[in-house]
Amino acid sequence: MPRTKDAPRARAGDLVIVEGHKVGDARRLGTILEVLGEPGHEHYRVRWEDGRETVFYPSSDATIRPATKAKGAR
Amino acid sequence: MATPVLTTLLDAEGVEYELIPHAHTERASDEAAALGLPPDSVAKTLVVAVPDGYVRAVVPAAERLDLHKVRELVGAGSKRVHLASEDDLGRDYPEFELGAVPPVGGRRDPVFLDGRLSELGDLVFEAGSHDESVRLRADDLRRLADVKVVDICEG
Repeated sequence: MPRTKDAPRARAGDLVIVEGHKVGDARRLGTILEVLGEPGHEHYRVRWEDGRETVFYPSSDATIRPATKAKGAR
Repeated sequence: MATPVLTTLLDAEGVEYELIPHAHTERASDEAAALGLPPDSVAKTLVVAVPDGYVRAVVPAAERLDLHKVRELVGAGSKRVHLASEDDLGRDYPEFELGAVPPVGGRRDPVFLDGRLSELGDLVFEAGSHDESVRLRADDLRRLADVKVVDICEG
């Protein structure tokens, strides 16, 4: 099911977390380098912890965690 | 790049997936090497012509498909079961580059998924071209197609 248009839009620097799908699978963590696509059909160019870059099309249960703002940042 | 017929299907079904570009390769084992993945974690899809049409046989990159097992599974008896020819692929799978047909997209063929791959959380296979792969959950593949988990490799 496509994500809803009112879902918060991710931004470059946000984190993507993909939980393991089977017992024993490791959680994967990546950083969004670029947000692609229209609102409601966003996908992301992501650099994963192993250094690979892919274009990631999340499902509705993907976890996007906003980048932590530095103190004093606006 | 990935073929739109595949990504459109995945988008329409809300499937989570990744497109992974890699150097142009013609063989699944080379694809695995280009991706830096072990060959048993990358799938190759072989289109098999059977009496009623086609089935897509999905096996680990390092394995060989056993057509005798496919014949038994489809109940073809003495009828011919063989890998689709280049002419077959060009005519019936024009959306994909020759030799890069993914398990789903285009025609709605039955899919025979080797049991070893079904045990993996994710599947990686060519995204309809020889220079980009797609990673998605094995469970999602089962949802997208008429998938039978079977033993279809030699040995």
